Amino acid sequence: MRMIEFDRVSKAYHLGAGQTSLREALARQAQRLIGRRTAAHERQLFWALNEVSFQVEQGEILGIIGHNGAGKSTILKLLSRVTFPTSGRIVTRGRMAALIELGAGFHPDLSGRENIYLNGSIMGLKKREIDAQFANIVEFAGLEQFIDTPVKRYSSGMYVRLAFAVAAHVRADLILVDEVLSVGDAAFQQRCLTKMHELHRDGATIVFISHNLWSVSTFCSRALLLRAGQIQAEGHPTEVIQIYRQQDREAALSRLRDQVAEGEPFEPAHDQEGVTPVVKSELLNAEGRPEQAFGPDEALILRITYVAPQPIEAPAFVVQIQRADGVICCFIKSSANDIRHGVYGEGNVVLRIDPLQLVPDMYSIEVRLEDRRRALIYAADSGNIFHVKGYLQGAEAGGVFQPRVMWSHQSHQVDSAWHTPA
Amino acid sequence: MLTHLRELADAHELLYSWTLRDFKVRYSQSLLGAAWAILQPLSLMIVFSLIFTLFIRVPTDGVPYPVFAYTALLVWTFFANSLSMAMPSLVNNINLVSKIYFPREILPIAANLVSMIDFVIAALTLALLMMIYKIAVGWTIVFLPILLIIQVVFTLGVSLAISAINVFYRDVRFVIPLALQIWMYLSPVIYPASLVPERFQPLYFLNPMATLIESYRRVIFFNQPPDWLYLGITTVMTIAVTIVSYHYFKRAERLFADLI
Repeated sequence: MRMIEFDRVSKAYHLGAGQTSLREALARQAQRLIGRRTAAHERQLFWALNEVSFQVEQGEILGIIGHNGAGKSTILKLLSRVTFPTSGRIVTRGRMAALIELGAGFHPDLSGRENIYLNGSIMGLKKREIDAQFANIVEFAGLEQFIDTPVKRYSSGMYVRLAFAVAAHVRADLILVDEVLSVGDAAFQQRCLTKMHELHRDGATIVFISHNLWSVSTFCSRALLLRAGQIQAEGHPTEVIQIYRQQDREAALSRLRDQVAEGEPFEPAHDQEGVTPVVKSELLNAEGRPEQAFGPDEALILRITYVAPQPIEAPAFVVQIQRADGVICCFIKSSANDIRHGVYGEGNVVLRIDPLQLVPDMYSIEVRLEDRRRALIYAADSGNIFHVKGYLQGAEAGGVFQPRVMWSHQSHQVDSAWHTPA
Repeated sequence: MLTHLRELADAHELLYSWTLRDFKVRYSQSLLGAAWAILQPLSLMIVFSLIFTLFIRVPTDGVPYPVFAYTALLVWTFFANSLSMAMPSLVNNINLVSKIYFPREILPIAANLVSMIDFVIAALTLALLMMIYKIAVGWTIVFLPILLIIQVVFTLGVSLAISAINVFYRDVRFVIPLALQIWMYLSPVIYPASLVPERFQPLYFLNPMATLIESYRRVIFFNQPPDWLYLGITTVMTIAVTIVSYHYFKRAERLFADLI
């Protein structure tokens, strides 16, 4: 059974503040009357959604991800009939509950009990339904003692717990969830997820919006990636999240490049005669061929070529690897033992990183030629980008370092019965 | 229109809870609580009584001025308070209106209902005043419910339109208090309608509030039925205003979340 159908739905907003003054409106009408107003003067439109189509079947849990402003919340607002599409058609089936603005209908001066009834009826519950669920709601929120206290005396955690409890006890066929899990402590978030699983098991269809990719990947059965009001990818959450992360990284990287390009212009130190040394670097694989993608276990070889018109007596080569999200992963500086004699004329230096041991992601590499004795940079090269192949786990899950590991397991069980299935 | 009304009927429990909320909130943490419902018209009545019996003598066709004025003030206060409370009802609940769907007319209607509770409390005081002044009511009191219904429906119609317009033009906030003040002087609140020159009366009674207040006085104090012609015109105007307002409200409703 189809629960949601979005058919080429677009939604435009007027940019700038709405008409809030009668004077403006009158002026606009007057201009229109004397024909001074042309199409160019019409206020600019912002297309929050552009020809978006998708369907949700009964029993699905659809996750919607995307950056701020991609149109995620607009979809929920359209679904919950708070706002209407500029064009296109939306069909929904069954009773809907929106876990969107938790506690929006709460009034601080009213008690928890009064707010449960008020919020419940805003969500379309009948009084007898709330009566029937009341004990469950209070128990879920864990607020038995405070139920007759005005909610303004609640902590923000208690507030959200109560709001979620009410929303979660609406017997709905279709549940819309927006970022509610980002509030409350971890234990409560876990309970919310469990509760939503329960609702899903009881037959509810769920549309879930979150920035928390982890919860989307564990909770949802399907995901949509929105970008600038359009669906960019649709499918299994893991795949969609992968695409999202990839884009995220590429965007961050191009920002990083722009920063390098536009940022403070690098002022190389001139030697006495005013002739500037030059360094260039190149990434090679173990076989010595140019390469831009490496496995975490593979070797990365960096070949640095220099041209130094004047001798540099105490040269130091500095290599810095930065991940696309700006994390500096390593900082390698050659010592007097590595580069034994001065640098003069043309030559090259090779740095072998083997194995690379970085988590799959995108990185930029910067090379500098410095003077070891003085705080002086002679030359720099920061154009190189490389990729570490593998499953993109993201910063929060993957860390920076991917060592080569080996597991072993020894067991000294006294009683082997406890873990063997009977 | 019918589907809207059915939806509204389905949401009657929300209307009830919201009204209760508004009422509780209105008087929570106020020292005198619901006594304000009486104090507001009562204090105006005292001031007007002083001015219009001691300083300027206003004829009241034999009715003691305090009761005469209090009756009209009751009706007027209900109207003015309903409007003042309904006007910001949508804008004040931005969170709700922009996030959750429910029939939005609940908000201005609840505002009207709260002010109706005030009206009922204040009306009991009128009964008390009449006993003190030993004013007996005649058979024409049976017309009272008709007047009440027209008054409530008219107030609701105006409230719906004003609350919706306020979403689009915040100027309404400044216009309404001024308009209410002028409107009050154009209605027989502090003076009897009989002071209005005969030839202006047809024009004067095009104001539904003037007709209503005058009709209340006739059925309560003078044992006369309302002037059916004027009351008929008022009824037609009331129905028209309410239908147009509600229609406008439901059309504007689609834009609320985008504009608030």
